[in-house]
Amino acid sequence: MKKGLYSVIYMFIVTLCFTSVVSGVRLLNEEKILTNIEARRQSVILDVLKIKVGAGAGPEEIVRVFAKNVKPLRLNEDTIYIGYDDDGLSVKGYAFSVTGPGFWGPISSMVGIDKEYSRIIGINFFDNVETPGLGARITEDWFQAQFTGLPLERKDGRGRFFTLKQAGTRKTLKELDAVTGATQTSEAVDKLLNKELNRFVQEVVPLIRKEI
Amino acid sequence: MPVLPSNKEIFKKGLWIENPVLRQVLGICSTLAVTNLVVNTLVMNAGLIFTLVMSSWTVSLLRNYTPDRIRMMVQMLVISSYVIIVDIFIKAYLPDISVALGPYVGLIITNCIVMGRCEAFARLNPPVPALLDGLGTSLGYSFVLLIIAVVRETLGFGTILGIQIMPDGFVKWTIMIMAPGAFFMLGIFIWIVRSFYPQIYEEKG
Repeated sequence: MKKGLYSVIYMFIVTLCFTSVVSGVRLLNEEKILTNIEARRQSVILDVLKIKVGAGAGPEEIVRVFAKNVKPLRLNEDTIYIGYDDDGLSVKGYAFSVTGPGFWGPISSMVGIDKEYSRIIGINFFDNVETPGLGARITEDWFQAQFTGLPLERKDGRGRFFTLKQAGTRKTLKELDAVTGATQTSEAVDKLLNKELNRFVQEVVPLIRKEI
Repeated sequence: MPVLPSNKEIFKKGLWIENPVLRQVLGICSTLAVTNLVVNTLVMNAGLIFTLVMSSWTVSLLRNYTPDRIRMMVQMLVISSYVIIVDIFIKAYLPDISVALGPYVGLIITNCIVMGRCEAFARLNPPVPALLDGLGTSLGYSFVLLIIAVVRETLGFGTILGIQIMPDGFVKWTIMIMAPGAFFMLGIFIWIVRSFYPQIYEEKG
């Protein structure tokens, strides 16, 4: 009985000591960690809205620029981010996130649209679990940069906004290079973005117009 | 009473003779998961070295007070505390690497090397040998991971630490950055080592 009591008290004291130390370390770094998480999310939004943050800017700078230039707007189940020019008055564009099935798992991206809802100004595939070196190359600059300037218009207001074609075979503005060797991922991106851009144009744009 | 081996022998045993990955085939989960990029491997190694050294040392310090029947709870508590501290530091100061490593830093807690050394050595030995045992074992784990990572990143991405080292026309071996590449590399590496140094293994029999 005495032995059992010793074990309990001993475990209690040891646990108290270690958890206190861990909690202390966590508290000291809490703010920095939260800033890092925020900055990571916000840098993606700033990137697709083409709002410049100084090269090599730390998380604090990203959070500051974001607070100054971007305002979130809640519309039913969507959150849209409105990007403002440096004067803080004129709208630069809108950003929204698109998530859907890839080949191995979900692909998450942020899309930036100009203020007339007529072109894509930037895209960033910020999260995916596609094959490294193949499908995961959708995060490379050359792939994402192709979307910049893509017009958001379609024949008769229906059909596709763009098509991913085998690299080197594109002929029109609406054809973009797919990632070589990553057919499944490319098809998934093609399908997901065409569907979600359609939803944005049809359903979300009227809501934004009503709000502002 | 068996005579305690010298500090040098303890260190060497962990580093090479009883290398956790090559000889005991422990810690394989993280070996497979983080060795596709050298930089991830370096951070993982630093995390494991810190955790194992500190845990061994702490478990050894507490060895005369810890009742036998709750020793595993105490070991788990000690190990988890150090791992969480490592995780907090990586999240706060190396956010990009923290994202790349995903859950694997937290999973150091369940790395059998750590608890294995605490249970098999640290709880029975004084702090200094325990610390050296932890250091030797974790360095043994680290150098194996680093070699695998250098080969995988070179063949899979054509780079080392992100710097291009292969010629432009080099065709990347995609399989090297996927999990099967890690299995192949690890198998081949263990095979080579055991072919060249079979006596150590057979002695242990």
